[in-house]
Amino acid sequence: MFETLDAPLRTDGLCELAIMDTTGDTKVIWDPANADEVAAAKAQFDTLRGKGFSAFLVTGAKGEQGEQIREFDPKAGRIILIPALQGG
Amino acid sequence: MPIPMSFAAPRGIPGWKLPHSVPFGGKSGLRKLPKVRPKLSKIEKKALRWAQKHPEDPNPPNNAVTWTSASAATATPTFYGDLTGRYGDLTGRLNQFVGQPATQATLTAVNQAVRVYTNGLYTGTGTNGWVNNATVTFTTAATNAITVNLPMSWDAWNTNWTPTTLVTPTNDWARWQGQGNQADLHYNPNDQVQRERLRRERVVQDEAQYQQQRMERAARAAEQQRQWDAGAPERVAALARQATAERVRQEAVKTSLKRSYELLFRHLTDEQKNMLESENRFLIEVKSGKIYEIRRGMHQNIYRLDDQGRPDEQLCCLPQGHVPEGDVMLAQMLHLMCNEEGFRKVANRWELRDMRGQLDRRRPLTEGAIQVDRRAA
Repeated sequence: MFETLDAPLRTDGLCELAIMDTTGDTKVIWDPANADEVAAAKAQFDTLRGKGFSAFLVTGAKGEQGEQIREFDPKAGRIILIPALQGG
Repeated sequence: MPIPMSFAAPRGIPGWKLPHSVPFGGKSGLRKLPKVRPKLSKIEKKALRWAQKHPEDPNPPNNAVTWTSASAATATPTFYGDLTGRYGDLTGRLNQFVGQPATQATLTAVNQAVRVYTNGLYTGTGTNGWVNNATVTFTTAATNAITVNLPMSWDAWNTNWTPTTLVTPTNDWARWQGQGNQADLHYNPNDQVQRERLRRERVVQDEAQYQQQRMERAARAAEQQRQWDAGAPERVAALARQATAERVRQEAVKTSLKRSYELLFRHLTDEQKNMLESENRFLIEVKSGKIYEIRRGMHQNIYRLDDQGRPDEQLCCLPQGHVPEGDVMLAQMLHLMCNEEGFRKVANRWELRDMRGQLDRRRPLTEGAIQVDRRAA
């Protein structure tokens, strides 16, 4: 999974939540050491999950690994939130 | 070639068509002309009923004005107005009266400006021979009873008529004329000069009316143009706002598309990037070992490949909402790589067979339908 993804994670120690929307994506960045930022990111995460968004966690030094998650991980390197799927 | 009116259309001949111009034709094709009935006024209908009921006396009593002269031999009623011309009916009636041997009346104009026609000739003197205020004397030779049959309108006028009453133009006579004391009172259709003068007057009146209407139309057009010009800045501003909004929207679309592809490219390998740029598609391998091909696009752009690299199934599944193209492909890729079964449950799928050496799109596979595994076959 994501074995050769060229998607390096942030090197500044911050975490990133990419929310897909009509503008492309909206980034929510938080510092894992900052409880307020973590709470705000978690609230955003839970809200969108309640709306049916799917969350994918990208991990690894270059983001080469990933999995679908259901709970917010404050130490996640990058989370991508995708709107609910529909058959085309 | 016109069809004769008396020619009945033959029946049963194929292709025979009645001309559209034949009214009241019906199936027979005969031209049935409508019955022409003269439109009668109430007074005329009443007179007609009276004449049918009393053939011996066709004139209804309401239309008969009986005047008895003061003396046995001569009566002098007073008229005002034209006794000829358009309203020559009175003259005709008088002529009938004059011609009756029972009465042997003679009609003479004792005042000037009297013009009374009798069988095409007129008696009287004065300017142009027109009656303006005349006294006409009827002289009877055999009897003192003079009966003048008049139409109802005349009858209405004659209601107040007595040998000594002068009817002024402001009362019944004028009402009968319908136009008041106008020059038309003296209209004589036999007067060519007058007819030409009236025709020219009508031409002038028509021209004046036309010019007035044209001026009114021009004024309305000018007013409309003024209103249109007055609203021009507002319209231009609205168009500018609309253009700006459209430009902003297009810029937003471009930006969102660019951002979506940036996000997608951050999760593609170099090989996938090159493939996407060169072939508009890229391949991914999922947990089950299957290889999927995602083509550039948003709908029906996913193909599952068999062991020989040929597509055997087509899928269509995308995020809800108006997500740009790059995000759609990234979402499809992530779902397939992390949750293939869940993705296949949601997606619409089509079985593909290359029986003719090309892709053949078949009916969608419903959930639980038998999937043809070509490799197993």
